[in-house]
Amino acid sequence: MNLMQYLNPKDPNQSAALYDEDLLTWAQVLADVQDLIKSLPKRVYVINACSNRYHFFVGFLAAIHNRCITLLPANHLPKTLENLSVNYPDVVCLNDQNDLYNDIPVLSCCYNGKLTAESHYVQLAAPAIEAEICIAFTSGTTGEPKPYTKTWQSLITIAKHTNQRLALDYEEATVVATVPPQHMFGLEASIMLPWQGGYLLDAQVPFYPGDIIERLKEISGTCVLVSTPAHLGILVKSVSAAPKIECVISATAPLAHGLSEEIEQNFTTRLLEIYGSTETGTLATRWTTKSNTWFALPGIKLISQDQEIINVHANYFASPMILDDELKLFDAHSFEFLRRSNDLIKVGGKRASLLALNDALCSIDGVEEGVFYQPNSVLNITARLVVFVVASNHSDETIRAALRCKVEAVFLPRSVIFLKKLPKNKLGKIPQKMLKKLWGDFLAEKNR
Amino acid sequence: MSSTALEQEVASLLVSALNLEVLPDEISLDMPLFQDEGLGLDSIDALELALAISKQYGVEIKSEDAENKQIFTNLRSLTKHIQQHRTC
Repeated sequence: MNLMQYLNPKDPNQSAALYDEDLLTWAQVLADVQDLIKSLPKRVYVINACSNRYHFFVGFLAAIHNRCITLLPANHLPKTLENLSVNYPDVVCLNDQNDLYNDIPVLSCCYNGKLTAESHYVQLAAPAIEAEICIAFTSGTTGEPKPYTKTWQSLITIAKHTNQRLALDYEEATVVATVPPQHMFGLEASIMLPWQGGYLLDAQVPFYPGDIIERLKEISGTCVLVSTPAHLGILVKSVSAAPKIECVISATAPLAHGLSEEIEQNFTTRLLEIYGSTETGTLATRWTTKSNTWFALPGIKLISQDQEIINVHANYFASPMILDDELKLFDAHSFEFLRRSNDLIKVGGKRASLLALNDALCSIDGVEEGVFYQPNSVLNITARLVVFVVASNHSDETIRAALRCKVEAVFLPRSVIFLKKLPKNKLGKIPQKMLKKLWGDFLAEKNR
Repeated sequence: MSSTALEQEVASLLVSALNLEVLPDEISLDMPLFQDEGLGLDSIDALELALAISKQYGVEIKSEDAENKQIFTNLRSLTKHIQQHRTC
């Protein structure tokens, strides 16, 4: 494989990105990379915290050119950065909002995003196929976030194969994304895909439905919308039509039943769903309204071991990866998604181990026992957690306050339900069925 | 509608749209909505809240609004924004 074709464009005058209203050429991008390299301290690691997607892209390319590894932590809270700098001390934090990063205990470098003269631009130095480009971290709730290294080979292979699945006829499509580029799905679908597929990368990160529709209207030509079930669910409820979306790509959680049809009908589009994880990257895709079956990307094999554990093989994994989810395998390349492993719950695209959350709850002083529960929300988009707890000297507020120091905000319980004891079966386990009943009773009582 | 009546109505909307475990009366005008020491809402709540506000008052929230961070500061600022921009 000739790597150069994936790195620098054949024609520097080819369009690369949309920066507000400006259409930027590759010459401009590469000139900006060259300019940033002058001011970016050369460290082994770069935390790229730029919120503008174009700024992130320039920083990402500069890091690749400098042979630096980009770190992708689950968030950029001062505490997270501080912890990260313990294991990765030779690090610089690149950001485009300097005021937010005055207090961090990490060397920081502000990128002002000013476009430079495009006459002199750098040719990117090609990384080796096995070169480590970035390290993604799983969210982690109480435990240490776990690092997953992504090689150049894995990133370009996934981008190429996702692009083939997308089968776009349009050369000048713009990729608009509601997800931040620091998220693994965001990096793959909103940075690597437009870069390697030759589409325009949109600098903005529209968030509210109004932002998304306005951005789509501003862009001339075809758009690909990269988003999540949470955003898409709210978007469908907010507007009845959307302009020019050739294709919607959704990931981070399975789409609620019916939502995929609604999206395709209301927005006159096609919806491609992506199955993957921070650990593995994209593994499979499906056209959700056509089929329940997921098809693995070329080169990926799923092999079941002992009927339970599923190993994923790909030539870019150092060793097979173990999947957390339960799948029904049809063969090594296609499957139906059954459920997430019991231990994993997801809220708003963030993942946590139920075991770790329960540990955090039970480690609070005065809590005798307690358990987290995720009710099925009516909308099934943003199902928040609740806790059942035995703790006579606590109130809702003291439980939440104690948890706040231990778990991320999205996992904080919306309801704290106090019990005299937790329901247990003969094996001493707390069956989900009983929690579901308790939750039903609680709601009935509340609404009476 | 007087601003007090609207404040009560928006507080009720907050509770019902976000399925909060507080009573509308318990949300004071100056309680921060999105910080840990207040209601502790997060970005998913922001999306749901924006939807509820546009349905009920015809006010569309956009992140590029210069005052966006201020709008969501507390119940007072949110009500003021709705009062100034409501279309229904």
